Amino acid sequence: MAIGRRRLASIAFAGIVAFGAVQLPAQSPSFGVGRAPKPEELQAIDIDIAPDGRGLPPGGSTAAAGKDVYTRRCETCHGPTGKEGPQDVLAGGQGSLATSRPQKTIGSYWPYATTLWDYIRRAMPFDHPGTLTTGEIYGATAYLLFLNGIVGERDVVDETTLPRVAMPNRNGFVPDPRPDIGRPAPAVCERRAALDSSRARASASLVAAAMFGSMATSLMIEVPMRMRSPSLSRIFLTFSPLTKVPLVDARSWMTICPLCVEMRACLRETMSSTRTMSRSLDRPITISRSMRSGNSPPWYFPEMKRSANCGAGCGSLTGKVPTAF
Amino acid sequence: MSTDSSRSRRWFLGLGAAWSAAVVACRSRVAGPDPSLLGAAVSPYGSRSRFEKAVRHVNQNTKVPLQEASSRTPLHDTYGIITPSSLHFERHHGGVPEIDPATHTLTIHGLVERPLVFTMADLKALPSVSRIHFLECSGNSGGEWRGGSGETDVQRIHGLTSCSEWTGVPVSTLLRECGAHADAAWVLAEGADACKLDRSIPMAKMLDDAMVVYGQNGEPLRPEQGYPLRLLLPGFEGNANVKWLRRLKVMNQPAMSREETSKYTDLMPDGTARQFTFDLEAKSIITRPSAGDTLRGAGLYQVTGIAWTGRGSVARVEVTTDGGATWTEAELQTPVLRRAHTRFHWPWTWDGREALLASRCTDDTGYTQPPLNDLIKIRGTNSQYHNNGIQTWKVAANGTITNGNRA
Repeated sequence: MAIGRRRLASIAFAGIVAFGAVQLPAQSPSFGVGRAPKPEELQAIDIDIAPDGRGLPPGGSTAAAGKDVYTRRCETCHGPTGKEGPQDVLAGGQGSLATSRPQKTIGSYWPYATTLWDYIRRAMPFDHPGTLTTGEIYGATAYLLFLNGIVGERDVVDETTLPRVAMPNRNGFVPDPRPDIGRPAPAVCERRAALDSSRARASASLVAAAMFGSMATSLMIEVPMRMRSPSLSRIFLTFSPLTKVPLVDARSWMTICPLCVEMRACLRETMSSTRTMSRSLDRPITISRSMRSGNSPPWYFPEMKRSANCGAGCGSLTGKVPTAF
Repeated sequence: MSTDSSRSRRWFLGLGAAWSAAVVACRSRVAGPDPSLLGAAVSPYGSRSRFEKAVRHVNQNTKVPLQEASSRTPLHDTYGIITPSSLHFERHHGGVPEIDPATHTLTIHGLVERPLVFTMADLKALPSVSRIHFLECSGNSGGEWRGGSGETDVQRIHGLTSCSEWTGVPVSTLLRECGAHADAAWVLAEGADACKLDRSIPMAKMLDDAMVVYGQNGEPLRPEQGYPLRLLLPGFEGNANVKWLRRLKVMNQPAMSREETSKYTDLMPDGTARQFTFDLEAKSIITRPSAGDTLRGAGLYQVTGIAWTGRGSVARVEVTTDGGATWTEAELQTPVLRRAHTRFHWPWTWDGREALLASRCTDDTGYTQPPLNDLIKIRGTNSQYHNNGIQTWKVAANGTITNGNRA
């Protein structure tokens, strides 16, 4: 449920207390406004159909009989077989919900057949709602269930059979678990990988992704001892937690050269400051950042260009993740 | 196009004193009001200056009928926290009905001691409250779910949220009048529009801060906002705030209506769907400068935007210019109201280099607005609703600003 269980319990408790308190005045209204509805008034608007079928009027039809009303009143918007549109696709799509192109149809998604009957009476056809007879509503319902392979063409759909129709996605819904995302564990998690010098060039973001998936927020590249100089011992990159773009030149591929022997990607609390991150990485000498302050974005460091300028020994850009990772 | 050109971009000019003085001097020479001419007479119902052009954005390029579509608030061109009623976003499911308030009634029935029919006059005779609350369509910012979109401005991306002062009667008052059963867990709310839109609402919410409202920003509701009566559920997704409210039915179980099963449910990567995802989580967006604006060179800019949360009130808004590497706290405009838009401001000295500008909101439950990618990691790209991820604006070195959500 949307509200935390404990809070819900306390609200429910408060509700019971409140109702306990109002039960007495409830017998004599405190403001005395409003009037009792006439039975026919209530009947005209009490139109919701419960999943157990409560509210369904007597009547029934079959898909064979309902094809006619579908063709006359529904097909223009939903297509000859319910799959063509132009408006909501009503049939097909079963098995597609966990794919990259899910199709939410009656057959693939709707959990209750009663909802279909309720909605057709309530709101369809879109431009003339309320103009279908009870028999036509049962017929259209049956035909749509038939188009989805849920009932047979000659199965009678009526006020007793409709609530018993087993919808394929009946158990596909779960309560709201949010907040489903919070502050990730502050612990720093590092992974190291030796750099395959034969495949020395790669996109820094791809390398980081290979090591940590898109969770990587920073990447450190170790330079071999013999190649180190006071200004170049480790290359430290931070990725934008928002876009995963390395905060160097966002548009170019960061080239990792043979002079780098080890890479460390760092997974840590989302959107930490670069300063904290540096501390967490064994105080690497970060070439850059400290010279700059204020609101300046920390990219376009001239030093970075130097590190990317690897000279002889570099292969061509492959754009592929080194298999060594 | 018309929206772009209608945008007021003059706010940039106000930043350089000399420049703005020059503009004012120039303007007054060319087109200032002639002090020797009389102005217009008084009028019965005011309208804005003909020089102001901000309008709701209606996407005409859609196969969906416009009675079942949405229009978006020009967030870039609104100030403070109140959205003018005329610019309040819309989302209808069966068009805007024309309802005579003299004949409109609200019926409360189901698990109650005494079913009752209230006329509008009955409702207005009851003790009323006025509260400032935001509304947001659960599909707001939904275009960004696939890892960012090509949408061009804050109105098109995030314009399905607005904030008004609402006047009406607490639902708890009405349920008491009817003697609602203490064990009833749900209340079905139903509209009088063509599709009779209906949603099941937890009784806990109805007893908490739900209202039936007839007033918006000091005048009766606009027809697009549910005239003459709508349900208001502060902090709950927009469509649950049923407009043109005609009926409340007290029940043991949810009705499992079409809108709460096949429509407003959030599909997860494993193929299951989350249902009754009512709460709108903490969210903020920088409205100025934002995509479509052009900064006129390095210098001081006033960054401003709105933040809100359906779970309480905004505790903190932070702004980054480096894509989230470092964050600075923004100033909140007071009073900060519960379940209302909260305006924030932050002065930014732009150095003229490329920047990734974004804001994030932390609410009083301690929840912080997450990066879009972190949400996608958990919910995948097909959940469609409830995107409260951080919006990044990409500022190019030449000052142009674009949607920076897509890496």
